[in-house]
Amino acid sequence: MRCALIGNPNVGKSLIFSQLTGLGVEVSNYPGTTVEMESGGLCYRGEIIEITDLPGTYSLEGSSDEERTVREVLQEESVDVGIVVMDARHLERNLYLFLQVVEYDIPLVGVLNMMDEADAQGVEIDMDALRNLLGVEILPTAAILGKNVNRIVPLARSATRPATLKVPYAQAIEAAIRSLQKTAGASRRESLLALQDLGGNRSLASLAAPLREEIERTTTMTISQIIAANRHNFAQRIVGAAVRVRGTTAPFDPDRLFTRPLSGIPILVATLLGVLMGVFLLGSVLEAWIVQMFDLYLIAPLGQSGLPPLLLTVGNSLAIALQAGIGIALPYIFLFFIVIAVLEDTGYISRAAFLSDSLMHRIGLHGGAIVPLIFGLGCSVPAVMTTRSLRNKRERIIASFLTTLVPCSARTMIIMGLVATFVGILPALSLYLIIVLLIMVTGTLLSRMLPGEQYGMITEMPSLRVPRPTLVLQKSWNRLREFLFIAIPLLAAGSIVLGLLEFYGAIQWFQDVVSPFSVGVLGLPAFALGALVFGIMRKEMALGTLAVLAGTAQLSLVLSPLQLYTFALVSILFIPCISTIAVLYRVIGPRYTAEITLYTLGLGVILGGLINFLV
Amino acid sequence: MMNEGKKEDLMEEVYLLTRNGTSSIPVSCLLSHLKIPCAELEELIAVLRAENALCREPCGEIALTACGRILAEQVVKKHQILEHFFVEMLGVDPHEAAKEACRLEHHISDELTGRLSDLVNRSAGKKGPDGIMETGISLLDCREGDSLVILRIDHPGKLHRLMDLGFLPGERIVIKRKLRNRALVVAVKGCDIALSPDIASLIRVEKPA
Repeated sequence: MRCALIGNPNVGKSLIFSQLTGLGVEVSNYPGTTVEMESGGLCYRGEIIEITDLPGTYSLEGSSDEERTVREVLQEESVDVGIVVMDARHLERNLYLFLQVVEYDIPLVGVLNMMDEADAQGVEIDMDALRNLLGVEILPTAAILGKNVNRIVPLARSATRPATLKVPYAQAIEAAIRSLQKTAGASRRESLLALQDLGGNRSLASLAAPLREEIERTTTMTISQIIAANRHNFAQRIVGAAVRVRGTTAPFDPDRLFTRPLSGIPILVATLLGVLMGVFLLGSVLEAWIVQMFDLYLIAPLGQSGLPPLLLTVGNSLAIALQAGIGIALPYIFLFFIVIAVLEDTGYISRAAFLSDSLMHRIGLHGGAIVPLIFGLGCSVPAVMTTRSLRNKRERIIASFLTTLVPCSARTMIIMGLVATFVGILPALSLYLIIVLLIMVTGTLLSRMLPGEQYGMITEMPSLRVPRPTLVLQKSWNRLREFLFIAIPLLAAGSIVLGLLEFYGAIQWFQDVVSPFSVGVLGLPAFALGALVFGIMRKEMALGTLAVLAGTAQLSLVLSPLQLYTFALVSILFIPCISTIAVLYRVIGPRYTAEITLYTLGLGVILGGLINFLV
Repeated sequence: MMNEGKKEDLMEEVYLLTRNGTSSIPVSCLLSHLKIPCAELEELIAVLRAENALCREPCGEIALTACGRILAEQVVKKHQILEHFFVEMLGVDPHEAAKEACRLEHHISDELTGRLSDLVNRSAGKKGPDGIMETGISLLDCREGDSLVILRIDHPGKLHRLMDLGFLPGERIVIKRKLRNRALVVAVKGCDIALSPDIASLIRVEKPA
């Protein structure tokens, strides 16, 4: 049996899902989109029950990837039972989605989650009345306390009939539905979709178009607005009949601190800087320790193992790949994932977005992009992953472009280790200035060039909650696993290729080939370009490799200050590291990953060349 | 018996033709606009001159007297209100609406005109300075703490999300927070929604009575 969890964002759907399925969760992208869906299985009385957690949406009839995905999954008729998770505190708005799901004619179970908080707010729901009105089983739960979650699957197994209730639409809409049913044999849902020019059935849409025009001509609202209003009104009537709110004294509202500029902006700055500093400090200690452990117990013994040289090279490359992957994954990425999960689960992220909205508008984004951009200062990988929370692909692409330009901690190390140490602190700061300018220019250009309009922010501010540590860890672990799963093979392959190239003397050959370009365009010796290539594995490797290839750690002896400056600029700009490329591929797809890679490569070469020729 | 409608049409025509600064117009010009026989026009002018609504300038051209101007303005106003009512509220084709208004303007009472005018203003709003129909006020111009009713959403097609969250005409909303950069937090259907200024500018609201 296959069940699907459907619901608004922030209703505790993922929590219910993780409690139902445990750890055996598979994260997959819906074909052709970057929309994530989690599926997992459980065994109930000898029957395997597959559960899919569909992306949280407010509606099934918008044009976003998420909405289209949910629509298509429900249309495929492979879902046996739909489990609609609703927030008991905001039943009216949650019923709006429920009423749309009803039209898909699949057996349904309604889950009223967050009953504990609804009780605390004085919301009283007459379950029997609601069951009668909706015509499906309704289960009150409090997933955060684990209450009643175990009853969901038995109820879903006993659900066999679709709900019979029907939204009474405006007369003109009902007449149009009847007409489409009669002339084209379309279902109520198909007719409604066609009337709104959704659903992909071309012939039905062309039949519906004149009906839509006729309806819209005689009213001041669009047909989607009329349909939405009918659903909202129906939901309101249901809530009016089944829900009573006892007057309670309003508790202290923390948003009085978080969303007022006077207190909110210092809190925002302190939170983001605190996170950055904390992860940076803790991460660098952990990273140094992990790298040292690898050197001590894997790479050094390998060197003395007396393996044949070719095998040794491959082994060494694999060890370096693991070192790079785990050396950054565990300390930085995992720590960031934990922090991000905490910020998400508390609901603070939407407050941060609200406060920084107008600032972000200047670079073609809105408040939602503050988090990836700031976290990009720590590590690009989790930063790019958080761009998933942006509403449409256009915003995700712009944010991904800009996030990969933000200097992560590894690139900060290059700036500090090369420019600040050997050239001076002001040139080091000038690099940051260049990057800020590039981000602003890139953002402005992209927002003009990419098709689609700039959308403002329409973000729900979920009530603030204390996050559950187990849930935070589970979420972070799932994300980390996903990252390791895609990044480690790429790192290993890249490392082996580089190792073999070096083994067969191809690095020397590479340096000979690029030498004219390197010296002529960038003004850098060929070995510096070799070091840049290693930087693709892990940005800070560019620094170490440079020292190795130059044969000295006193880099100022072999390179002029200008050359050091150029090298640092090129290496922080050009080509994101392999881990970032892997996660970009996952979030925005191959085409834009390639574009970002080429764009940053171009930026690095052009700016490096400019400095060489102009200075 | 002289047709009252034709008299009013003539005054209206002289009023419209002299609105752009000239004080009087030649009879030939009136003839081509009104499309009535020359003799009938001369007769109408004579009657209106007798009623002290029109006068003939020394050069032979026709002009409105002060009294005639007031009468003509009333007719023109009735025409505008009727035409507006037909087009904006009944959805009549503008050309047809103009013809209907031309006929009815002579028969409708001042009382009925006034009530019709109130109705048009209440439901469709007043004309803004730029001549575009304005309904209510923009959500952006409201203050923190205001309790409001949504009148209309501009460009509703591209903002499905707004209507899914309950931003629809007739919905009551409260502004929970407004920043100096005009980003807003609005309570709708019991949920707090943060909006960018550009989104908020599309929402037109009014204060509930």
